[in-house]
Amino acid sequence: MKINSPSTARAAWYDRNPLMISNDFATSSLAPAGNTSRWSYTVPSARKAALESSLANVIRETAATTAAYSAFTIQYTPSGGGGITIVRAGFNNNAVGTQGLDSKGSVGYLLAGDNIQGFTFDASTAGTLRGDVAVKVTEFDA
Amino acid sequence: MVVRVKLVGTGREGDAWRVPLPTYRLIIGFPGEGYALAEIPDEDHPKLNEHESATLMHTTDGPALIGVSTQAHSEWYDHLDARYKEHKGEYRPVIA
Repeated sequence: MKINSPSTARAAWYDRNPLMISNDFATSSLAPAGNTSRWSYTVPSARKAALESSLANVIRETAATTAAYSAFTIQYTPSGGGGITIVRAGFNNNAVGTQGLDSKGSVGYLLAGDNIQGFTFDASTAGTLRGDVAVKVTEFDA
Repeated sequence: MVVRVKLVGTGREGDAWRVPLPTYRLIIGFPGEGYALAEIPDEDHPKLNEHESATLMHTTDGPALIGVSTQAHSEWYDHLDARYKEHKGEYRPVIA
């Protein structure tokens, strides 16, 4: 009689050499500046990643001399493709305390070579902002 | 590891000031001077901080690599090409 071994189930993605990654640009007293990449994450070859949560939160901290559009964003760029904005919080308002907020959970999966980046932008003259642009990612074997 | 690298981009929509590396945390950028201090994963470089040509500077975020040879840059690029095969030839950071 021949007895076959039962097939071994593949481990779930979160058990395949997981690596927890958090990127957070948390700021206050941020002076106006052009579009700036505050952090970047690219999935290495032979790995994948789950983008589990994302947040952009921007608040006018002090009034500008001349207010203009201000935004904190997160962009997703698939390997070999063009980037799209997946999270955006922004406003064109000079009232102190004005807030832009965008957050998402369980955004999706990233493949090898895919990239996410967090950006800040403030076209105002003078004044300051505070806020966060953050993600939580779990990277694992493909 | 903290590195002092040349910034790329113009600061405009679609062409942000950024570090030409796959994964990093910008510590501080000096667009006017054209460089930034950034923290990068240890897996993303071939122990550049231990290279015989490495020049380090003390910062509040730890030692920062501010100088390294052309040969070490080439080894770094090979390392990035192997780790990020989908972006081979794309990441060419320059220590500044």
